[in-house]
Order: sequence, then C-alpha cells, then structure tokens
Amino acid sequence: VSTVCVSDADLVALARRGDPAAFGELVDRHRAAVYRAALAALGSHADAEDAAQEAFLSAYQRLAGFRGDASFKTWLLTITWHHAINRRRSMTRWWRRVVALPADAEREWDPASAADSPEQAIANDELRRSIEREMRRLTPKLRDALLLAQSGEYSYEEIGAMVKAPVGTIKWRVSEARKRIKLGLREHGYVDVA
Amino acid sequence: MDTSMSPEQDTRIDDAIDEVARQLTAGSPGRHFRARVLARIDEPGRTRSGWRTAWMWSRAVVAAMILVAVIRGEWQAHRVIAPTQARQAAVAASPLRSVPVTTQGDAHASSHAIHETAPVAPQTALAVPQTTRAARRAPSRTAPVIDEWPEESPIAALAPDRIDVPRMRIVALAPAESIQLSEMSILPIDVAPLDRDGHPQD
Repeated sequence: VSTVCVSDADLVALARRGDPAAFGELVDRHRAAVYRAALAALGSHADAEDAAQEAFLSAYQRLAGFRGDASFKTWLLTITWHHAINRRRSMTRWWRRVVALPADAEREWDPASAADSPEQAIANDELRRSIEREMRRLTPKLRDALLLAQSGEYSYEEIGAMVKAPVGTIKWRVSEARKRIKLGLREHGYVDVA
Repeated sequence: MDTSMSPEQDTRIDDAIDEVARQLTAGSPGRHFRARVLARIDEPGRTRSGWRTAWMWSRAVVAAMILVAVIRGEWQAHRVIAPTQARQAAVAASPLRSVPVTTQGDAHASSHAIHETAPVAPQTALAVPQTTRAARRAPSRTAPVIDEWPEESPIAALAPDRIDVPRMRIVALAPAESIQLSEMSILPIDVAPLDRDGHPQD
C-alpha cells in the first residue's frame, strides 16, 4: 500500500497505536533531514548516524507526548539537535573531533568544472579549503547556523526551533558567519584571487 | 580592516561558502538505517528507557542506604550520649553548679576578688543533646542545654545514682609573705683531685 499520500500526522496516529510500519515510514521520510542536522552539529558521519538513530528512538518513546503544535518534522529535528549537542558536549567526542581535524583537511572536493582552466581549478580548490578552515574557526553558534541554513534542508523557522532562537537571530548569525569568513579570507589574501 | 570586495568577488566567495557548507552537511544514513532504528525499538533492553530505569533504581537504592545510615547514626548518638546526659543532669542539679563565689578578705584582697563560676563540667559540649545533625555539627559550649533533653532514654537508668554534694565555698587566702625566692648567689667552688683517703689533694 502506498503511503505517499498519508500525512505525517496520520502516520504518527498509526504509530501511536503500535503500527511499526507507520513509524518506519516516518523514519524513511525524515532520515535525511535528521542525519544532516546531526552531521552539521557533529562533523562526523559515524557520530551523525548514531545520533540520528538515538533521535528516532527517543522520538518513538515520546510519541505519546507529541501534541502537534509544530509539525512532526520540526518536533523531530528539535529532538535530534538536542541529542547531537549533548553528544558534542561530551569531552570524548570533542577530543575525537580535534584529532580528526587533519583528516578533514584532506577532504576530497567535487571535481572542478570542465570549463575551469587547471589554474582556476587549483585556485578554487584552495579557496574551498580556506573557507572550511575559516568555518572551523567560527563560534559553534555561528557555524551551526551557517551549516544548517546552507544545507538546503531546513527553513529558518525549523532552524530556530532546533536551536531555540528567534528567526531574526538565526539570520543574523548566518550573515555574521559569512562576514567573519570573508574577513579571514581577506587576511589571507584571497580577496585578490582572480 | 576593510572587508569590501567587488560585487563579482563577493558573489564568488558567497557561492564558495554555500558550496562548502553543503558539502559539510552532505550525506545520508546507511542503507539499513530504517531497519536498525526499528530493531532498536524492538529491543527494550538496549533502549535508553532500560538504562533510565536502571539509573532510577540505582538512585533509589542509594537514597535508601543513606536513609538507613542516618537513622542508624541517630540511634547510635542516643545510645552513646544518653548516659553522659544523665550524669550531666545530676551535676546540673547539684549545688556546685554555677555558684558565684566571691573571695572575702581585706580591701586588697577584695580588689582582686574574682567571681568564679564553679566548673560545672568540662564536657559541657558533650552534653548537648544530639538530636539533630546540626547540633552534632556545631555543638554550643554556652547554651544551657542540659535541661532541654527531650525525653528520658531507657539507657539513662543505667547511669549511677545522683550524688549529693554539700555546698562548698572557697575562702580567699590571707595576704602572706611573698613566696618569691631571693636571688641566689653561688660561691666559687674549688675542685681538686682526691687522695687515697678521699681528701682533696693540695
């Protein structure tokens, strides 16, 4: 039976009555959004997968408390962010991220456009690495807002619900993050890149 | 620092920032993510609620242990303190307690008259009723707490009988000669070896 036309609210109602397939459908619908939120907070795919599973598990256990004031997705993302931030605050995870920084620096970027000259491709690659380095220097709040906003997965309202901040604050953080990245790039002379 | 850029440069940097942010959050969970989540739901032993239940029970056990320890401590305090309290009560009832004794004598002596309070009990602090933890932590040395003992402990019956002591009065010493020692003077001492008869040799 196709569940495409079934709303989240209906699936939640079915899951509350003990229908595991209904909750499985909710998992399928929102797993990407949940996973990317966790990835934005944790920066590690393994940690993001664990946090996403915990978030769904926690959501299932609290399903009876879902009142429907917000959408199921927003409610789920709030739980996800809570789990992810708790995990990030753990000193062990923090240390793992610090140790993993050199590996992140070796990230493989998407191949440059065929229209780019070899010199342009090298310059673009260097620019991306510098931007990533500047992102890492941002405060967690600014970095979280920028990554969540630019992931293309969430609205500002959803981000605000996740991090418990007004939409205006989220927009300011995104703008401030961009400004600081550009300032860092300029300090490294990237403004003059052709 | 001037952060102004040309519009082309600004757009290019913004695009690069967007691309980096997208790539940092790109990805999806594994193929069997849904199965793993449902499996965790079906295994209550691995769920957080199981741990939460265990955690709550452990806290309850710890609370119970602390309660038992406190109750036992109170009982021990009563058992140890009660005889002392009984003795203190007996001492407190005796005329020796807090009788102001004024030295009597001539004017010189009276000028040094000392209002003394008979030492009621050196262990006054120990006589503080140990009915509360606060009282045990900070026993008062001045509070007349002996009369405040709330109830008679059955163990108090084991305490010795009350001792009646007649009223005592300490009379001031009459002025007397000074007992200060006069300055000592040591004369020179000659030391000489002894002869066979034990006399000093010249």
